[in-house]
Amino acid sequence: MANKVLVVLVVIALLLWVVIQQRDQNLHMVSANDNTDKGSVDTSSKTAEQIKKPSEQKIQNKSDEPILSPDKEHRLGFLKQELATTVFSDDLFVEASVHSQLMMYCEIFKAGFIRTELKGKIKNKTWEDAYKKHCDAQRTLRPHLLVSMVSSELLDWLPSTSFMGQKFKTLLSLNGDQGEELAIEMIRLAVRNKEAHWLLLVGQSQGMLNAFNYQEWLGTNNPQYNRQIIQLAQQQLICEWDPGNLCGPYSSLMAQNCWQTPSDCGIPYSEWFEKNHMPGIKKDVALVVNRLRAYARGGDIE
Amino acid sequence: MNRWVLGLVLVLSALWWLLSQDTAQHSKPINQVSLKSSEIEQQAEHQTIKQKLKTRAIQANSSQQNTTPNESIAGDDWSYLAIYRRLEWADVCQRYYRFAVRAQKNAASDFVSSFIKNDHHGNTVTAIDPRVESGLTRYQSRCETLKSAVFAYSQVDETELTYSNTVLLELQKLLDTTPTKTKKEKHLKSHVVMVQVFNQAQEELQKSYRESVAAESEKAEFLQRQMMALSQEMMALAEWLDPQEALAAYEALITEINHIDDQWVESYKGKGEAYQNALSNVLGHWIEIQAHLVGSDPDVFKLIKMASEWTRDVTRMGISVSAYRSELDLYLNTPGEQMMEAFGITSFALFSEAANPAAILYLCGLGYDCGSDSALAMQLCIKHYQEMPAACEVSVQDFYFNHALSPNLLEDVLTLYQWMEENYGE
Repeated sequence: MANKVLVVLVVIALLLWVVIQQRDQNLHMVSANDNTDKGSVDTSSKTAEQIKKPSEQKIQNKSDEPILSPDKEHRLGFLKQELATTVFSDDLFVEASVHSQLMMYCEIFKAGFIRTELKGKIKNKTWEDAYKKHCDAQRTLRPHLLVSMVSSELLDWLPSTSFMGQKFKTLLSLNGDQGEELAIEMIRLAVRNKEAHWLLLVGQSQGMLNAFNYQEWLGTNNPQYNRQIIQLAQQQLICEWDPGNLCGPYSSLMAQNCWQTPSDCGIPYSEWFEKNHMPGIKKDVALVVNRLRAYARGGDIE
Repeated sequence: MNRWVLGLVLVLSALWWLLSQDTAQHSKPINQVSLKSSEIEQQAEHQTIKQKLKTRAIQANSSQQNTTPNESIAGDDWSYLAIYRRLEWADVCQRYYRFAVRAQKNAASDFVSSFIKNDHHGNTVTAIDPRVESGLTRYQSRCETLKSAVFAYSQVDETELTYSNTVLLELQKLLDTTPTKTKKEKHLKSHVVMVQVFNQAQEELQKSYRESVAAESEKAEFLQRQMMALSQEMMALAEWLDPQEALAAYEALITEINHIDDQWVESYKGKGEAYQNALSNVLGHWIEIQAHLVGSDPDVFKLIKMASEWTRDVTRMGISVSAYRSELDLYLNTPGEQMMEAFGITSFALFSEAANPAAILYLCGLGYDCGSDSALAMQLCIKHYQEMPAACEVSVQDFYFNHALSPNLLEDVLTLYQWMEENYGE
């Protein structure tokens, strides 16, 4: 009798698990080529580096990987060492792309026209010093990635091992309107799957204005205005989905805002946003954020 | 055993039904009801805001001209004010005259197609919105009429359109030499002269700046060569086989690049006495003209506001930012920047999306010609025809209320409009 009860309970538990898994899959827009683990994790209890990263679906056929010269294989070895502890993706190309974006602001603050423009204008010296230390640490941690990024040839030869990564590689090779359709697909995937790093990488691509029906949402076809509202909305979602890595005090987002408003360097993103925008503009950003959130939850949004 | 199987089937069926209900809810389109009801409330609020703006920005319809633009341009009125109006059209027509000068060598070229092709990176556009076609055709007609009228009056040979600013320069000469008769004309002329003096001070500052740079040109060239050499060394770092050595070399290169950069910036500082005098002169005039923002004359407001913002583009009269001003060490804020500061905002980008329309609508509210056939409407048409073709057929106010501004942005535009009323109104 007891055995029968136990068997019944086990069977019920197994069937419940199957049903729950099925339901969760239905909530996400799953393309034939992508099966991203959303991994929406409560970040409050974890450090930035411990946040579980989504695992992009790997390419099945290894023969698709390009054959590299011995020199490039050697350099690939350096990169693999530097990026061994992946934060955003198991795909080295994607991981390198995100880190390159983050490091880019470090470098343009260190040398170049932004350095010249900002000289003497940053009021928050504590933040400025801490940002420099953060950037120095990144350089020491990933020197080969840094020098490769500076020579602008990193992404040309670095292989991608995931379907999303390959889509991104293709997108980077397309000019103007050619990549719009692909960009739209990737932006929508990024939002649907709540992947902050993908939103960072593709959010501002050529398809950004048409990824959703922003004109109807906002009530205007003014592309200059709409572009800025969308950018702010994307920034808010990036901060929501990956606050530690992509919205922290020394993130590229904070650096970007510092460049725009040097007197506000170092203040948290939400505070910066509240302070620097008129009420109506804030409402438009909230409108777009809410609709994108609804899409991310599985809503049928155009 | 049968009871057990039956019980198991019943439990599983109940569970499956419960979970499938939950799934159905999740996969439905989002419930638009709550979104809709808040949208309806917002729409009512937006209508109120639109109405408030309309009552201010369209109040001067009765003072609009009774003649069509073509009649005004081609007519016999060559008073100071009439010449001034033609000058405003000449400014809008600059782009057309550049085309006309090039087209003298190619008579077969069609203005509308060429204009649009030029804005589409040289690609021919086959489907042209009829509003755009109509708007650009009117634009061509106005500009041709203006050119003919000015050349006829000034007795200039029409074939002498060798430069795109010939019409503008002729009208400027006429304006300088035509006496004023009415109170309005005298008031306008005093401010035209004020702005001319300010522009002259700006030119002297620029001249002084260029002279100080010219003295250092050999040094600048040397620095540029050094910079290029260092950039090439930088590019080669990726091939180094030892990343740590490459990093050390990178840091050393950065230090050198920054050193050169600092020297370069210093060479452009223009700290000589002549430059400082020119700078003081500009600042003095700049402060003086801003006092004249207060008033009710729309032409004076437009003239002074654009001069104070250091812009020749009326669509940036609300607030303009200029790297050129910071290069010249012009440390004072423009009126637009002062307005931004008043709201505690330091980020220019989106603020300008409200400030510029607010300034234009304020201009309309003062009585400036903002009708669908006006020079200002035409300026908006040639600027926005690609993404907002309605700009080519509606009034300036209509364009902003119903096309260019989101309902939420209208709220900010009203706020800034009211700020301008408080600060610039008599």
